[in-house]
Amino acid sequence: MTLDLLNSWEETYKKGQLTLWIFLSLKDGDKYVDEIKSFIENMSNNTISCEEQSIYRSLRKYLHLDIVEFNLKEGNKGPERKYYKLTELGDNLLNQFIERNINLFYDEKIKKLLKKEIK
Amino acid sequence: MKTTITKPLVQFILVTTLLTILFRISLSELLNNQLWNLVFIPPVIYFILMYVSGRFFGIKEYEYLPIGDIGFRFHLSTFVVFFTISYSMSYLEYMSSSEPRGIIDTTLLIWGILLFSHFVFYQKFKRNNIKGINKEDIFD
Repeated sequence: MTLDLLNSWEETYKKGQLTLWIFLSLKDGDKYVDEIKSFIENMSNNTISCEEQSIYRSLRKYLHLDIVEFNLKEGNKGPERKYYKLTELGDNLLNQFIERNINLFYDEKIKKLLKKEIK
Repeated sequence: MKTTITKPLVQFILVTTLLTILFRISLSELLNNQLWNLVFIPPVIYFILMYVSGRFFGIKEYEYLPIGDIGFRFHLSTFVVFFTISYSMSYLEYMSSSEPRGIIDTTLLIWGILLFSHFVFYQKFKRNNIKGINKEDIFD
């Protein structure tokens, strides 16, 4: 029962998380799609799994909206790769999102609640 | 421009061109041979194939980049292709004598009104999007 509820909650919770993780990976530095995918999987302890196609689709939208841009750089082998990075708009957007939605969790009272086990 | 004339749209235009030519030729042939009972077949097949083609390439377009005016761009393309081919065939006298130019003019007028209505609807939709992408589709 608990596991089913948890899975259901997580499924809803994770929807929409991909954007935040993509932006965080680009804040960490310029990356190509494989690196973005690895970053997200590693940093989220594999709780967020994403298909390359989903990342490409999101990046196409962000490119169109000038949230990200890319530079072509030589890969180790094979053709040139697109290294994506946040634009000034993207950086601004992420900072404001963090300030409005993530920083709440750094409030002492919330931090205590998160650590406290519910009995 | 790259997000307006996309690969799926170009493919759709090519298929529309082919289907419209086949539709025009088959309709004229049936009219020339006075097969009045069968003249409903080309428009029905044309409508079904155009619907399937529009849906197929429209979904491909949406998956590539969900620009909100997909429907309007596909509609406008169909309109332009249909009347370019129809008037060209009429001018080159490839059409049946049972299809006077006036029929194409009337179709152009009625369809033009529908296209304009679609444009007005699209303009209203634009209020809920950012650079053509519906706000709900940006961070889905």
